[in-house]
Amino acid sequence: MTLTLWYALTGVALLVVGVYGLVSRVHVLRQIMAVNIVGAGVFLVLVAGAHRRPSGAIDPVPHAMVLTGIVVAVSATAVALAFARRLRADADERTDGAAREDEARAG
Amino acid sequence: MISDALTALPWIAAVSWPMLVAMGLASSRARGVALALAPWAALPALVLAVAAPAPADLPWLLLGARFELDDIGRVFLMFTATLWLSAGVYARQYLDGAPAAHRFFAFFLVAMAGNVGLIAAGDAVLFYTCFALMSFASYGVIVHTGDREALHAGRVYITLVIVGELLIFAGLLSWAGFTGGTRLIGWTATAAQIPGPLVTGLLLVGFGIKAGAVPLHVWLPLAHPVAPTPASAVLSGAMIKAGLLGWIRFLPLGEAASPDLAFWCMAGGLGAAFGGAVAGVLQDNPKVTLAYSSISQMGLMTVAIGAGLAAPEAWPLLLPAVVLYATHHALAKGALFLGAGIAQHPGRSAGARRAMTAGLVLPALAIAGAPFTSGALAKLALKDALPPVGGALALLLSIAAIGSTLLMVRFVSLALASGVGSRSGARAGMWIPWALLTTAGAVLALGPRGIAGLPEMAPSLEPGVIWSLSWPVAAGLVLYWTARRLWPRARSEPRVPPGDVLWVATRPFATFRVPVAGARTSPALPGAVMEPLARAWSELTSLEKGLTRWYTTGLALLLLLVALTMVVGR
Amino acid sequence: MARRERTRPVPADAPWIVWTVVLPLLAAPVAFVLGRRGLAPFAAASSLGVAASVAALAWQVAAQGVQRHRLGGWGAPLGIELHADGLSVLMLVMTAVTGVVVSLHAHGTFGLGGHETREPSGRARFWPLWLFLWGGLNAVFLSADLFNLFVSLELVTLSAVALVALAATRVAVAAALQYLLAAMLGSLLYLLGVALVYATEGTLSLDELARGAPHASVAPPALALLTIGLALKTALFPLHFWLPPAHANAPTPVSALLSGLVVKASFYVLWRLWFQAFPGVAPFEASMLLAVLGTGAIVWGSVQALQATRLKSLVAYSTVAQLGYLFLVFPLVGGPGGLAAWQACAVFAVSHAFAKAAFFMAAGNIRLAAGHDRIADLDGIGARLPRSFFAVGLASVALMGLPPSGTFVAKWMMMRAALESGQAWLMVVMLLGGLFSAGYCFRVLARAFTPPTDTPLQPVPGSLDAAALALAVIALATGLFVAPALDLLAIGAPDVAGLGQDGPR
Repeated sequence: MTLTLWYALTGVALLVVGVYGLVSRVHVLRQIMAVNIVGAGVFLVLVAGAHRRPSGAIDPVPHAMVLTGIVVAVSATAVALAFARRLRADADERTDGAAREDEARAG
Repeated sequence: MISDALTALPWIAAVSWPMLVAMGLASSRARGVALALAPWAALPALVLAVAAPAPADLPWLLLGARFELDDIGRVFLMFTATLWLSAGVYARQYLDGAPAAHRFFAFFLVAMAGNVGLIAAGDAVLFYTCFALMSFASYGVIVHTGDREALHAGRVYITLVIVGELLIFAGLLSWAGFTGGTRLIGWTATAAQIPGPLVTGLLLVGFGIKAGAVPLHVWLPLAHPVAPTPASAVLSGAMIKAGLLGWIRFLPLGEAASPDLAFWCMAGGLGAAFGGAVAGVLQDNPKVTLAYSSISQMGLMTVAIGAGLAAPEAWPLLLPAVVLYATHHALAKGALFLGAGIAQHPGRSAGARRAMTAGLVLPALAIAGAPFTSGALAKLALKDALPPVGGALALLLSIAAIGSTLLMVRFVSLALASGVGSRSGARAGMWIPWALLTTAGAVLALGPRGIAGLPEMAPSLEPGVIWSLSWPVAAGLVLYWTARRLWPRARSEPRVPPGDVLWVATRPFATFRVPVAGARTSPALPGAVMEPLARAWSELTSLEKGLTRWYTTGLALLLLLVALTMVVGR
Repeated sequence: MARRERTRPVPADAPWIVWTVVLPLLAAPVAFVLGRRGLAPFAAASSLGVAASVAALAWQVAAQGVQRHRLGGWGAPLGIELHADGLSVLMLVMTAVTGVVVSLHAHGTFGLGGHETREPSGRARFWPLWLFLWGGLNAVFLSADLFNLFVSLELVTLSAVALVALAATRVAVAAALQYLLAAMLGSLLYLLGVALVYATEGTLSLDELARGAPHASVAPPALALLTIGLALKTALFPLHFWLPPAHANAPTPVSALLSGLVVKASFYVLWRLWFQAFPGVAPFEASMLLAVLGTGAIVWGSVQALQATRLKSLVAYSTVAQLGYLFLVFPLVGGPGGLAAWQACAVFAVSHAFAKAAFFMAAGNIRLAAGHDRIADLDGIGARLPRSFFAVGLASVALMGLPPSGTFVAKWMMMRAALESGQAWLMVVMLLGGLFSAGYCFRVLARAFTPPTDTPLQPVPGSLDAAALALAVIALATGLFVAPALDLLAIGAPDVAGLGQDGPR
């Protein structure tokens, strides 16, 4: 068991936790967090993959990918949070029962 | 390059000119000009049929299209273009001042383009394209009036068309697989393999829907009475022959015998010939009677196709006979339909009435096969070609002629009765195309000499021949007269609902509609069978609601990942 | 390792491949800050500019063959390398044609104010997002390595999701959020696949992956992750749950772009991976699995379209069904007639993009006029909105796969390949699919001849109908004039004949 493998396995474990969270939770905030956990897992696997040369030198390419990936994930999370806020604000505006029922359905 | 374009020009003009005019009808600014041009849109096709230019390859069109006319195609194009031209001129007058005339002409012209194109097509893809164009455009022609009967007829028609298109699509693909290409004309000469019975069967049924073959004929008696008269004329005269042409083009006729299919083909044909006559006599709408007459006549041509499938060696003789029969039937049936429209408005002048009666009786006699008519020639040609298959068929043809006579008497009396009480007279624009078709039929009766694709024949003066042609007509007349004496009330009540077997087949399901949430559904289903079906159908929606949950998606994702990993890593 | 390249494979005077990506990406932020007055001419100018550079690139590829470009001279793996062959160019042209026509429609729709979006700023927001989306799509079609494909796909997803939310209704925002979550999960699965590929192969470039032997060393889970991630983003049945609500509730021009183009982007990546980056890696059974899912999509999507109560939801489910055809081609490509099947798939994608965008626009016009799109209450709409209805009719011809549409030609080629390779069941599926689509299209078309009701109708600007009609006509013309597309596809086409050893026996 090398350290690299531990990193990779931890990444996969995070991924599994995240996917489970995504499919089992209905609250959008939890779902957004779950997707971020999936992302963390994937990035961990990528980072572990940088340690692939027999000489022990670190390959910079996966690091570059992780950095870009984090940027993408942050932007997507921001958009998702904006939507979640919008849904929340909408639900607050509408006080009738139909709206609340609606919200329960949309999570 | 330029010479290529020049060769292609007449072909493209014949097909695309009607479509261009149809496009003009769609724009409100060009409508006036387009309406004036619309009746004459079949002229380029007629020129094409007469000139028959060299084949043209259009590699830039579809998957490499080809236009080509052989002798058979030429004859088909001649009578088809003549019919469309007559019907177009007639329709201009028939729909004069009608608010939706431009809509009718738009569909009419697109169907015309398809019909012309499929005859001129030299490859299977182009043929199919034009065939579909014609089939779908004629839906608009059939439902033109928009009333309940028209919509019902349209629904039956479009359902059969879609099924037919699928069968033909499947059949043509397999056909192309067998023959190794899509070239239509002369494929049999180069074919390494003959298409098998499944392919032939698909094409037989697919084109049979268009050709009105029993039991796929149900749309004909529904569509003809509701469609405007000129549309009925081209439906029964020209478009129905597209199914026949499909058979001639794609079945392995003259190449290989397929006894099973031949049997079903002949059985269906004879059933149509006799059943059509019986059902048609029991109608009280002259156009329904004509529709059944078309079914019955197409039945005879189906018998000939069956004979060709049974005995390939007989095909070289059968083919010209079938083409002659198709030509004769197209001209005569077109004239009868146009005449039926005029008979509703006979006018007050006695001369006009007499001319009208004569104009109805002449093509009716031709359909019945009386001596010295085009029908007589066609029947003789068919009889001459049939013997290698079986002499009994020739006798059956004579008996079928009795049925045709009955139908024609019934039609003429109904048509004449339809004009009783009408004071208005039909105008020249309707008389002239009718006279043109009747004359063309009369000219054909003199014998088609020098037209390649048709048998060299002349009217026979032999007493034996005349007798063989006359007795079925005489027998039919006597039979009709006797029947009217025995059952005088038969005039008013049709005993067979138009669409015969369809009516029988759909009666238990008449109230079944696909239950769609939110739509008006009819609850009156034969409960025990239909209710669980309906419930299962709506159950599918809630199943989709289940599928749209994250949980199910996550599960599916996992399963697919595992499955794909295992399959790839195998 | 990255190193500075001095040689330029493309003549300096013609870097059209760069402009097709950079121009929309540059124009988008400008459109964002531009005031409302200058927006329309700027948007028109930049749309035409992008379309013009696509045309120039198409000409270049047709005349000179495959084009490559390293941005700033930096190559793989750290630099961005662009690569244009016949397939990319066809996809670019599909995007440009659909994009320009839909832009026209959007100009009209968002110009009305208040109808499609609750916010008056909908129009101002549409243009920057659409230009970002366009740039992202072009980048997907031109990217030459796995990671740039990921970034471009994310660009597409984020702008598409934001476009859905432009409708600003609660349902639309909820649908956009679910779409975003599904797309993110798909991307992350794809990224994990990329990580595994890089770990075993040491390269991300599609070309190098294709050249590098032995391919069997690519771990099976890597291909499975890449495939499933992309399938989720393409809404392949049964992973389609996010598509119908998002496509049905977005503003009409957005629905047209999403259903026509966006789903094709992730499919395109899958297509490239299977047949160009990892040719022959997946065994025949794996492609059968995809074809079976495609069959499921056709049946399930059609059944739901038959049951849909709203017009736009019917069209959205029709997209689920039609995407299934694209997956039927996988088991055909390795067999005899494989190249024809491969070409047919591209033609189908293009023709479907035109037809579906046209159908959505026409459906949107009907909704705009009637104030609703409940199918049951659209009686007599054919007589009252003849132009919108005619567009629906023409688009239906293409959706049903009837001649002369491009879908017909594509189906003809696919079915011939199915027969040649002895997989007649695929032909039966395609014919059944045609029957299904006829069924749901006629649910709408039957409204043409029903007696009209006298509910009031809003007038629809002529430009909206013109856009729908134009694209429907283009969908039909795709089939009539398919020869140039097939010629174009031959440029840089993969050697699919070489994949045949594992075909059906």
